[in-house]
Amino acid sequence: MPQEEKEEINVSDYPQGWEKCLELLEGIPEESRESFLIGWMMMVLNF
Amino acid sequence: MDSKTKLKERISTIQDAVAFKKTGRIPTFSNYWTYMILESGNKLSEALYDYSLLFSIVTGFHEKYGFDLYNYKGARNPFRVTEAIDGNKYIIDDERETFNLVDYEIMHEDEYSELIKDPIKFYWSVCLPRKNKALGAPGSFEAFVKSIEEYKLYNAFIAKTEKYFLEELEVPVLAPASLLLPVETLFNFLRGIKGLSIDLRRRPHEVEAAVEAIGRVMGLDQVIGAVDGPMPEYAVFGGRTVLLGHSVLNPKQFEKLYWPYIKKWVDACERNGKQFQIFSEAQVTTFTDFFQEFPKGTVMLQPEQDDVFELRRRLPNVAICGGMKSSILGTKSKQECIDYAKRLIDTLGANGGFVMGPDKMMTYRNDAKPENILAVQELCETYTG
Repeated sequence: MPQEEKEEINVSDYPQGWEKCLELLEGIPEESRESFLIGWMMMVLNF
Repeated sequence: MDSKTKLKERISTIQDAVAFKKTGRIPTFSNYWTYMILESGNKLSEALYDYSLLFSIVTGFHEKYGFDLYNYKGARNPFRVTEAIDGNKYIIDDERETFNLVDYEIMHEDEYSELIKDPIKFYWSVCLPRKNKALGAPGSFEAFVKSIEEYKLYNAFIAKTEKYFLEELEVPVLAPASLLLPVETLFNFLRGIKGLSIDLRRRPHEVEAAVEAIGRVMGLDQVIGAVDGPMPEYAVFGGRTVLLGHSVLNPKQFEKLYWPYIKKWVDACERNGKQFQIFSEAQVTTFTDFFQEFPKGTVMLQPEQDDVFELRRRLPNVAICGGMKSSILGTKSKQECIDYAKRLIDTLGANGGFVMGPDKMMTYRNDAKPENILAVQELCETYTG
């Protein structure tokens, strides 16, 4: 029986990477996680 | 005794000056950036990675010079955040006391349709890994977690510094919201100076559509809408923006890409009795026809390369901040600095309408002699024209 290869995702995969990153935001209230992640994203893109 | 006396005095003095009311002293605005680090005797490579050191530098700068308002309190170069994901494009040269920016392109010219369709997806899946190599490679989530930890530390440093300036040093906050306009996203990081200049000629409608799409996801309407709410007692302006990309635009392009947002924001401030600040790099003299529409006393403009005396002739309705030439602050005597500062106050501020500050983002050690900064600060306490 052929072994299925598990597909590895990276942060930059969308939406899977985005969703996993939201889960990884420990300590950030759930309702604030999306805006927090967007704030981080804009910072690391701009600077 | 009210412990916030100085804070309130700073806010009212600046607001009165912007409203073209004569004030008891000339308010001052610090446009000192990495100069603060060099003036303190520290190295860029040390201070920009050590938040405790950076905190002592920026607070020490205020203890020494006592400006009423600050453009920079240490939050500008999040190298630790970007380095965690292999995305730092700056090379620090401590010997020359400079940063050098490695040239790179985040968005290609044929990618406008992707950006317009879904900016967040485009930023995340295309731009992020292009700039920050670790995010598109194995181990990306470990790098992400590390970067997030650094982001939290960076934000904690900003919060601590802002709180200290406000509560201990009684220095107000510029505005509850300071936002770059959507076109700056294209100019500043997606396409760059050269790329945007070319796109404005070759694909102007795509640029316009991209600006609209970017504006929607950045929540600009919500930010402008918030001006209708209460004004925080610790802030001077109802809103603030920085003009960067206008330097590659002609007036017709400015009318489409900048003016609708600026006008909407300033109108919101004006109907709520608030004021608006514009910090501009390069020159804005090309666009003064637009700024003539601002109701008198509503806007403070902080220009860079413009002749401030010519700006006042064109814009008698707009308060001016800055004007103190770094070429004088950095090379001339105390008396020459005082004489030029008096000329600025006499011409621009004798009946309000002027806030003193340097004429550019002060970056290098030779941009100003410390004794000259002090001389101008002391003059502003007693000389009002």
